[in-house]
Amino acid sequence: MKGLRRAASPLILGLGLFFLYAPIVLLVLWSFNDSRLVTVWGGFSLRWYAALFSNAALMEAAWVSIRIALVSAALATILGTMAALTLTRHGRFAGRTAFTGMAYAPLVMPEVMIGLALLLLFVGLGVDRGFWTVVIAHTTVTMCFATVIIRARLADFDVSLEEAAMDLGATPVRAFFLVTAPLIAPSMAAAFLLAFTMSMDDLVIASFVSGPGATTLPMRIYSQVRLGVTPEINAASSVLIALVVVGLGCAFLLMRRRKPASA
Amino acid sequence: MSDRLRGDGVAGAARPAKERIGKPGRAGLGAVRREFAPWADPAATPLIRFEGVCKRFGDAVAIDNLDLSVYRGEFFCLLGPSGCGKSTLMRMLAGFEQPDAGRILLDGVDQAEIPPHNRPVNMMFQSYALFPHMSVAQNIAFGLRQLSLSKADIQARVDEMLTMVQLTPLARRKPHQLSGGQRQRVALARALARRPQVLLLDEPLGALDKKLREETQFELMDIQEELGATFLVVTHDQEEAMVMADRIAVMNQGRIAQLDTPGRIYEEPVSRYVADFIGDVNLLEGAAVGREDGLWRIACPATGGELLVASDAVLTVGQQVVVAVRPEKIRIDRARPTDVANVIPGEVWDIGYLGDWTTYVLKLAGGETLKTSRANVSRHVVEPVTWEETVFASFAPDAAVMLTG
Ligand SMILES: Nc1ncnc2c1ncn2[C@@H]1O[C@H](COP(=O)(O)OP(=O)(O)OP(=O)(O)O)[C@@H](O)[C@H]1O
Ligand SMILES: [Mg+2]
Repeated sequence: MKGLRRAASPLILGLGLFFLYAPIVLLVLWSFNDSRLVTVWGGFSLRWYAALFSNAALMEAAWVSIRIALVSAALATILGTMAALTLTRHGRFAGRTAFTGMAYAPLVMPEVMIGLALLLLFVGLGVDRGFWTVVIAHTTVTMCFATVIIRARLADFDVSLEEAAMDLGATPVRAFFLVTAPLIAPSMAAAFLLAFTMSMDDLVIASFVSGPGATTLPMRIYSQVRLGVTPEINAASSVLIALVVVGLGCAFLLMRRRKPASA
Repeated sequence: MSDRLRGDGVAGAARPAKERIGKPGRAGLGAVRREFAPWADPAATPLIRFEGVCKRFGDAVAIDNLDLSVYRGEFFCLLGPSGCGKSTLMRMLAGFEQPDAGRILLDGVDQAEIPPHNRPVNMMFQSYALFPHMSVAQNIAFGLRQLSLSKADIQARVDEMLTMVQLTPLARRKPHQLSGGQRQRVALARALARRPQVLLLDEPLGALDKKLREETQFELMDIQEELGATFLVVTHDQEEAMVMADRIAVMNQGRIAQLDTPGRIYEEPVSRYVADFIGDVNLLEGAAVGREDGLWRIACPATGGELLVASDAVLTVGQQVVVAVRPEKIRIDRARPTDVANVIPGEVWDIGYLGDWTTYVLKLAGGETLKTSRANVSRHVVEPVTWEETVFASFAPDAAVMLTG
């Protein structure tokens, strides 16, 4: 019985990993397929990557996605830092619980709901949907992840460092930029990268709040796939996967990096 | 350096010269020594004043209606057990906590509306709070960069500070590459770089081992004398306070139990709490019997007799009092001495050999214990006092202090 369990657990782990990652590995492999047919292996080639980079529609969508991701990640990092500072530094204030709840709500809210709610809001306000509505939507969702990451770092941040800075004549704002910010910079960078990747691969929310001229890369890929999977799409997806993996990997390393031995 | 060693801590012992205040290097050998005691001068205006300051955290009272004056150039120690409000007092002066009631004046200016970064005080934190991402030199320069000083001036001042704390070779190291003692010196240099009027030090030597602590105590005193700044030091180590301070405030639960010079705190404690907190003491309970020749006769059940205590206290006959005697003021002999007023027989119960001192714990007739100590002046004693021997403890009437509080 015991032996069986011992033999079974790696098997189950292997199966789990297989179901999770085999499709992705296959997709990446097929992106190097020389054949036009998606299901027949015709040898190794980078032709679809070349085709991808000359596909104006995909490239434009990628550029839109990158711009949206950069802007929304920057906003999310700034807002997340501010929220985290408020939650860690200001003790108890009226509405603290409500604020915590609202800051963290998007963590658990279904994306479809968020997308729909934002769509109704933008329509209600009569805002033209496009680049900025997607930026706002992505900022809303990703800033709560940024808050979580930065707050964790601030929680074990020695407040007496800030006090020392102020004691030495720095205004609170200068104390933040000269002492706090450099020390929490890794977690801010991690938050930025996480927000960036989340924005890059979001399809659901963007589909709700995007408008003409602001088709993101996942939206473009999705709409092309409905017409049939081409090797080109495999290549585009592979690039996107690589980007996400690198981004998340860096974010993980930054978060894991031990803070310097506090002195 | 050696002139700073306060010999025996006797009340009113000559205090080292304070002439060098504000004019380093002026006093040399043979300079006129002056007693430094601005607190005794009614015309002197204090640099720091706490007036009826209260501070509570929720239900807990941290500072309870406290009045305190500290004078310019003073080396002032706040001494007290953990949680008595020492750090809170200091943090209020630095501006990190606001008093709930009362005023804090610095050089006559009410500090209530002044934020921490505009106060002319600097603080050395208990944890040192060195900036881990900056080098030693950058840490020291931090406070100077907040002033409008030229680069050259900042560099000059940093070099001066590095020399003072003997860290010039380590200027480029990061704090985590330093030893505890070196970090402590960086923190001191950083706090002193802005030449504050008042330097607050929260347990500055807490993290150091005993030997380094003792060395650093004298270094701190030298630096204070050289710069002429006012030092307000928190400690819970009474020896440290005794060595360094011009005056000590012994605190108890947010109040000042006694504020005086180290000598007077030790020799003339005003309450049982202070006597017990500072140094070793025997507290003998008794009742006043009568007065003769300026001495009070106290019936003391523990010693099975009467004690004579020199005291000006106004007592009523029968009033309960505590007679406090320090162990080193009690002599022990094998034969009953005839030249001393108070003689107490007892059996040697415990002997503690400390190298320089030996302490003897005597068991008295009533079952109480009495602690005495004796300096080991020679290396070999022919017939040392040993366990279970009956000896006579004795002390003069003026060796004891009468406590009514
Ligand atoms: N921020 C705070 N919130 C709540 N209570 C506090 C706070 N700061 C201090 N206290 C309480 O106030 C009292 C005095 O604290 P304080 O830090 O001044 O003590 P201390 O004399 O410095 O002690 P120690 O020698 O241990 O440093 C303590 O009972 C402490 O629990
Ligand atoms: Mg403290």
